[in-house]
Amino acid sequence: MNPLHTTEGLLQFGLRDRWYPLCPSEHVRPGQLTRLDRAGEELLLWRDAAGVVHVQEDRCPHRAARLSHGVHMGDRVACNYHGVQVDAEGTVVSVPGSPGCALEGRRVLRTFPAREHGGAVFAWFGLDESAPPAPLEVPEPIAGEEWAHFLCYVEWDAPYRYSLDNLLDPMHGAFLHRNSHTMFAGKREAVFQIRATDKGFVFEKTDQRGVNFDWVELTEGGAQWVTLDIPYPDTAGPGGPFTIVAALSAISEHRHAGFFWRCRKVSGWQRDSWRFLYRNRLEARHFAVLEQDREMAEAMPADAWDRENLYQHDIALVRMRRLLRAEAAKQAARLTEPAAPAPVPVA
Amino acid sequence: MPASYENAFGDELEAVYGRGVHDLPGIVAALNASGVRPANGADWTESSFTAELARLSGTEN
Ligand code: FES
Ligand SMILES: [Fe+2]
Repeated sequence: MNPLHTTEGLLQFGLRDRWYPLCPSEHVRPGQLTRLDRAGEELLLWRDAAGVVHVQEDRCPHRAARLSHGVHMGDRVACNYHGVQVDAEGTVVSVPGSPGCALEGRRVLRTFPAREHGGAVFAWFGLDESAPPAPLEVPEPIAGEEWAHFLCYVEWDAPYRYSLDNLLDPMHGAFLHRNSHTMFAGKREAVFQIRATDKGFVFEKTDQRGVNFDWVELTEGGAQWVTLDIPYPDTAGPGGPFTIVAALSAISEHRHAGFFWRCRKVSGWQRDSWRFLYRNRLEARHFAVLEQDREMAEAMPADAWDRENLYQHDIALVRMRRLLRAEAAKQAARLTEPAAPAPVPVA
Repeated sequence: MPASYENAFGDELEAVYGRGVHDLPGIVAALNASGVRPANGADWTESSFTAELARLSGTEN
């Protein structure tokens, strides 16, 4: 059975009816064919002559050879095995070995709606692939003009769910990152509360804000976003805390891609100052902090979730896992339900 | 322009900011009291400082 039709598989590779970031935009070079595994799919990414990015299944509709081993022809891709040509809509436009054959003109290559935003390529993986995608709603810090941002892209040897756990666990800031430039302050004991929002929830300390990693918001809808603030020390200059907008996509059961947009609401010279300091020194410091997370996540045992003893700080994890599991079960049920019986023709 | 200049400028800027000085006149005065100068050796002004930040931030490329 296709793992993407089971609750477990959907949890492992990511729910359907979601936009997922696939890679930074610059990874898809003009004139080239890029192969990526994401969200349980084997993908081919390429840009047409106008620079528009296309995301399709990396599988020739003829005999399943890798289209990524083929030839980029500007507005189409030619398979290298027998020369079949497919366009950006997934339609076979030429079968050179058998001109006029029935495959020509058929739309048979799985093609996923794609967008670029905030320096990354996104694709929509729908439960029903013939249905149109939901709009890609991007959080304010990467969409808003008053914000500046840099995208930090990483690939970790850990299930994406460990990284999601890490993001929904603000308390690790005061321990794992206690010697970092940003998370040295704040209490080591905290009481957290959960506040429901339109599309998810906020998990926050009840008695401290703006001191450490004190709150996190999960947004579940047409995409899954995690947003949080981390205060900067005075040395970072004017502009307030920096915000992280994070999104994750599975590469395999054991590996994932992480997108961390580091954002700050700054304009004018303050924006220039942050951008300069970010490039000149802050980026390296932020990266060192992220490396601490990577080391933890990659070293976690494969059965981490099977033997845990959670406490009050972990209620966001419990809520998030329950939310995802319920949705995955619903999607799996829809994917396996028998097709509705054909209507009885009226005589 | 050698990168060492950018590092020295970054060091000085962080030091000034670290003292809680986050306003333009205060920053310019504090930089002028330090050893870091723009390429022409002149004192910093608000406009030379913000122009330098714009250049260093890479906003224009
Ligand atoms: S497998 Fe691609 S053309 Fe035959
Ligand atoms: Fe962390």
